[in-house]
Amino acid sequence: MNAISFASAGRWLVGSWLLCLSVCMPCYSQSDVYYVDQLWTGNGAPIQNAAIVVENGKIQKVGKREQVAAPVDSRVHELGSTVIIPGLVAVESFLVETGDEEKNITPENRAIDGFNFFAEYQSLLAGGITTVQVSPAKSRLMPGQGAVVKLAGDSTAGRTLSALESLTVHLNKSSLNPSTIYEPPVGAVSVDRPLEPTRPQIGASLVESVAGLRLLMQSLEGVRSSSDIRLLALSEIIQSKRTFRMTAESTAEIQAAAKFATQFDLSWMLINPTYLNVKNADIDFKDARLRGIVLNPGIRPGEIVNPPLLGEDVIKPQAVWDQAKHLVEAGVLEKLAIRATSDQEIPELLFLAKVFLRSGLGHEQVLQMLTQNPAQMMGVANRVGVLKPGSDADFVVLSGKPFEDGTSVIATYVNGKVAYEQTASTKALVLSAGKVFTPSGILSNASISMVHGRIQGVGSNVSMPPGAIRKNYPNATIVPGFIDAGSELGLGSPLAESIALDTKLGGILAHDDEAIRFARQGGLTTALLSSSRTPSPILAFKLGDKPRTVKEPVGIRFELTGNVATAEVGLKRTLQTAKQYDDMWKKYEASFSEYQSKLKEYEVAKKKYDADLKAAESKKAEEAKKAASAGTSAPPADKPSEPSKPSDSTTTDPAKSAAEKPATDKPATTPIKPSEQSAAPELKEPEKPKEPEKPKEPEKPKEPEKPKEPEKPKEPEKPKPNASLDVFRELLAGRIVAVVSVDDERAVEAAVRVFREEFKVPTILAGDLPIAKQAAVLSKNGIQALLGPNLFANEKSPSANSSKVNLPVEVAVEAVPFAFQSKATTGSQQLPDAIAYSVYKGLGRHDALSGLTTFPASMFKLDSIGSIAVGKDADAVVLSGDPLDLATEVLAVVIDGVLVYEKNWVSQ
Amino acid sequence: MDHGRREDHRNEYRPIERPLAATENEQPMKILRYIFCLQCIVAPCALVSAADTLAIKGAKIVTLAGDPIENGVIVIRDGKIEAVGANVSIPIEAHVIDATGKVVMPGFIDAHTSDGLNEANERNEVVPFLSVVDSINPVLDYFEESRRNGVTTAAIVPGNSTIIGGQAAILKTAGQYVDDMIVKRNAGIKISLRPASGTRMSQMARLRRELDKAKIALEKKKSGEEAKPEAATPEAPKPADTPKPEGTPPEGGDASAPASATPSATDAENVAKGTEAMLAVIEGKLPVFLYCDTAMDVSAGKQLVEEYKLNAIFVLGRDCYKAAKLLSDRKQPVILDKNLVFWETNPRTRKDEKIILPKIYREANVPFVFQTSEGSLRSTTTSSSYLWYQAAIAVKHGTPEIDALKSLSLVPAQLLGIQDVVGSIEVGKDADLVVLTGDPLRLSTWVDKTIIHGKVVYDKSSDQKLKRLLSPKAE
Repeated sequence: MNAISFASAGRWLVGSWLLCLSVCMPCYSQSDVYYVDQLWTGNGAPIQNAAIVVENGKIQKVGKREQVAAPVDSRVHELGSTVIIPGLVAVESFLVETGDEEKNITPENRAIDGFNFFAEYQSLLAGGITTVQVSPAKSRLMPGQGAVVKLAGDSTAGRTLSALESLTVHLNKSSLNPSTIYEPPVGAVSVDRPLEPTRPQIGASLVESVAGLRLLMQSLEGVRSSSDIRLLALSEIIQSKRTFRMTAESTAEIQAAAKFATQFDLSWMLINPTYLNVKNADIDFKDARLRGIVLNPGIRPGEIVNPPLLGEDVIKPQAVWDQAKHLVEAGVLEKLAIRATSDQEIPELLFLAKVFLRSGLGHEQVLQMLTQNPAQMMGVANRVGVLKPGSDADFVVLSGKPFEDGTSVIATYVNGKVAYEQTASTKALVLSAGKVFTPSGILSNASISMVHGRIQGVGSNVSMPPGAIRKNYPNATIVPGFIDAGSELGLGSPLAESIALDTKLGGILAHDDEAIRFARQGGLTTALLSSSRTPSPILAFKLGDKPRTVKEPVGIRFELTGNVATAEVGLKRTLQTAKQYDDMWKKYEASFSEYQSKLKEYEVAKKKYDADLKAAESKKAEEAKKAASAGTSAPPADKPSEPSKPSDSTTTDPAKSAAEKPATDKPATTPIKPSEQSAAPELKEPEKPKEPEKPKEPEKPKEPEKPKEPEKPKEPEKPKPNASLDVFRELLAGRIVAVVSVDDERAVEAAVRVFREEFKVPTILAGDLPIAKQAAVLSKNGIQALLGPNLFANEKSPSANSSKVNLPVEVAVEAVPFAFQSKATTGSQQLPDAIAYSVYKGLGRHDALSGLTTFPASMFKLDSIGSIAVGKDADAVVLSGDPLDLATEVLAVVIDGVLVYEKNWVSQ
Repeated sequence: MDHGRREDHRNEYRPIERPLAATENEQPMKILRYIFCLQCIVAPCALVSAADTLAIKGAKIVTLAGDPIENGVIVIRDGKIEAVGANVSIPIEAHVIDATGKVVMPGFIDAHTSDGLNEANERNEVVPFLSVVDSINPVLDYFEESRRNGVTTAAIVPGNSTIIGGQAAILKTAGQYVDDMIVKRNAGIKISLRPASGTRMSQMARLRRELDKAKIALEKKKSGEEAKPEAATPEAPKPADTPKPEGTPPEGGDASAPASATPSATDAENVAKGTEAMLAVIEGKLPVFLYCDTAMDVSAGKQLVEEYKLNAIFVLGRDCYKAAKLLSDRKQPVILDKNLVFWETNPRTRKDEKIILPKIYREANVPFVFQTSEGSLRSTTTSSSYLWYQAAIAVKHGTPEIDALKSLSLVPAQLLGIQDVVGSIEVGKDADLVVLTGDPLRLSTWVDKTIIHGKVVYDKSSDQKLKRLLSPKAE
């Protein structure tokens, strides 16, 4: 098969097909189908394992995956364990550009004129909100008419769901006491046209506001050709039967609003009824004219504020969730909607809505209050609010169930196009699964949080690092990443040259290696590489896209194959040389340390000598001085006591104290002093006491003998370093291991003799049948086993039927720790399946899993890998069932906290 | 006269009627005198025609109505172009301007400016009855600068801080009296979507109200009824206000409604003029200079145009580029802001991006012309007031050269509806020309001469101000 011509032919074909496609592109519209774990339509219980088909920005089909037939040629998006909810509808907002509107009654103002379609609404889309109602202002009696718009989309007209949706009326305190209006006159001011005084506006109190509104409505009766812009606007509103949005908080306001609406037969919405007492309110909630009740949760997420104290005799308002519950009990669930406390909290609608769950309302009901209900009461339910065929494809993809802690918005779709997408943070990953294998046991429904490539937390409720990608596998099992203790991955092809033991292979590992990418799909996260020409160093590295060295060298690979005797001798010789080298170095090190201490002593002594010398000279000078001043007996009497009376250290004689000084670490106590003095080259003691016998003479103290200069110790000779042999030193010290390949039982014995008995190094024997047969020997000598790639060996049994020996079982039975090697490149991927066969044939699953994870980690002294525990490297495998079962498949592989493989990966 | 002396008539002037003495000496003299008298009558006329005929020769003529003519000749008579071409004969009486090595182009047209007015904006926001003609001051620097920079025709429009401003006019930039300069009176009306006071919502509400009133007036006219002046009817009681005398204007009501109880005669006139103007707007006869400050104004403006069927000329502010695609279905060019290239921080990516307006509009297939007045409130000071510099910027960023040159004179003329008189160098059009020292799109080019109506209104060689600017000497 000529790959090149195939490729070029293919390219030509694709090119021509694309050309045809582009020609008839307008008529060819592609659909997308999204498969998710759960889908909430906004109206009822969620659909599990759902699918949604989107075409031309509209929803074609919604339903269970099996029941929804995706059209041919549609793009398939497997969104994994995510949840889709309808795009949320913010039922009230004031996202218009602000200005100073002083007039209290301006029904002609339209919020649609003040809404900036060209601004960025990313923060709202990131909260899952796709549709927003905009009201003109929040603080005037009748600020104007609101509109319902979408936060993303192609054309302004397409984004406007309802240009004139309602008339906003604020009966609450925010509309009271408006400013007075000053209008400059047209033209010059003169006696005929005096300057007008400022005009006050209505709204000093609720009574006045309501009376004013009533008068306004009544004056509409005779309006036909009025030039008053407000009356014209209002009459148009009445004729179109537009909804009146009445914000009414206190009981009086609510009553006034209800009466006003009833009197003029208006369809209306009750906004923010803080003091509404559902049971006692004189409102017929079932009245069709009452289109909706918008409740305000009243909390600001994350903020602590001091609510005012109302006083004892004031009736406290009902909690908003209780109001909701009562209203639901009254049978008007469809009329309830939730608004955000203020514009800043709109992105947190999903969180704010949780407060309504306090009263026992169901999740579907609360979600309905955010989606279908507001859309319905605003008259746009045919397009948004509910995910049903024919409505706009506005939906939100969540990482978990709505209202669940830790759920975040992954993507928001408006008109079938991505309007917001969470930027993936590669720093943190959280995996959740039905079962997690940890050293302390199997946890159910646990999560693992991985930050910066390390496991940060394991358990049922781990903290979510900010910006973490959450992956949920409800029925899966997570095990530590598998370790292939003898693979040939890493350099592209098996290594067969002899390499020096000090070679660092880590630097030449292949990046973005296809073989590695293939192999890790089997669940392998770490591989050990060595050359087949022994002795060879062994390198342990991670199978990420940029292979990372875990430890190098991890051990030395030897061979005891072929002629055992010669091989043994050879190995012995090698080890002997190494041992000699090691001994040489050890000796050097010992003598070096001795030299070091001697050097220290010398320095101490030298200091003392110098000090004594100085002291002696100063004493001489002093004596000379004293002799000059007709020495009395006192000084001589003192002198003999000098050396032996350390208590004299209290005297102020500077020379003496100087002499005492060298004795730094020892208190100047009598018993020690003489010994010290004897140890250090010093003044000759015995001479001193003789001195007093010459009273006459000015006691020139006997010239202290020139102190013996301390000898400088000789530095030991450093042996010549040999890099390769240095590696052996590590082995002999027990910090790395020896892996010995054996192919028969005598080799096993030989290896035991050489490695364990003679040189006492940590040893791992690699091979197949002989090791299994000698498992007891291994166990006795503390040797571990490295099995593979053949896990079964044919043994000639007495019954002339060669039976297959399950090697790992044999080894496991003797409690010998074992690891597996594949001795393959892409074949590494099949290692777990090979072990699965062994498990099927009797190997314990737990033992098998240990052989892939914990055993090799401990055998090769790789502390950072091999188990799922806090502090270890974030290497894990997500399996669809029990590990090392042929019926299980690998769903995902994580290496160093990065998801490197996922089944059903949509390539980006 | 001495009676004793013999009469000497030889040097005396004799009227033609008297027969001449047929003396040999007197004959040539008489003929000379005869010719002299003739010339005294004819000469002034000759002098006059000599001044009114201008010829420019030797230049590269960019006519904008065909290929450029190398080494061409333009003959101008009575302020109009009489002939253009390479082999045109120059009349003897013509005053010849030798423009060898220079380029002659039709005079540039500024499609929208509020300079040249005494005050660009009125205090009142709805004043359709006003006209800029009453406010133009020909002595202002703007006109001198225009002549210096080659702008021969300008559409003077009220400023942007208004709802419905006054009516615009198109004028030549040279003249002593406004009436002499007018090319087209009532060339359009200004409607601005930038909130003059308050919010955009109230602005749009008032604007809609005025347009609705005009629509009602139109219907009334069509149905034959006389449109009653609005101010005359006592208004319906305003219940929402505290009681005040009848007839006082409503809150935020029409500017046409007077403040006092009895409307005066001038007010009625104004109202009538205003209504007339608005009627013309609604009928589409009077073009609307629609100023859009930001992108949201463009979409609002477009909706307004569709709803009321306005004949709109979009004047765009700096930030309208975000809505460029909305204008791609318009055939008429838009008027760009003076700031063609600027930097802005993208709110989503927080990166600084260079915004190049001509490129954006060209890619959105929106034709455009330039203006020299400060439109947006957020302009920078580094932008240029030279139209040909703006054209050069456009060429730098991809506009074809010929399109850029056309957008200096021909396209604005078509936009403003004056392409019959100006815009290109064609026979019969007004002789408004600019002689440039070199390629119009090169920075080293200067305006050498500006000619309006066949008269040289600016000559660089005698421009003292420029001389003082470029080479200041101790005086």
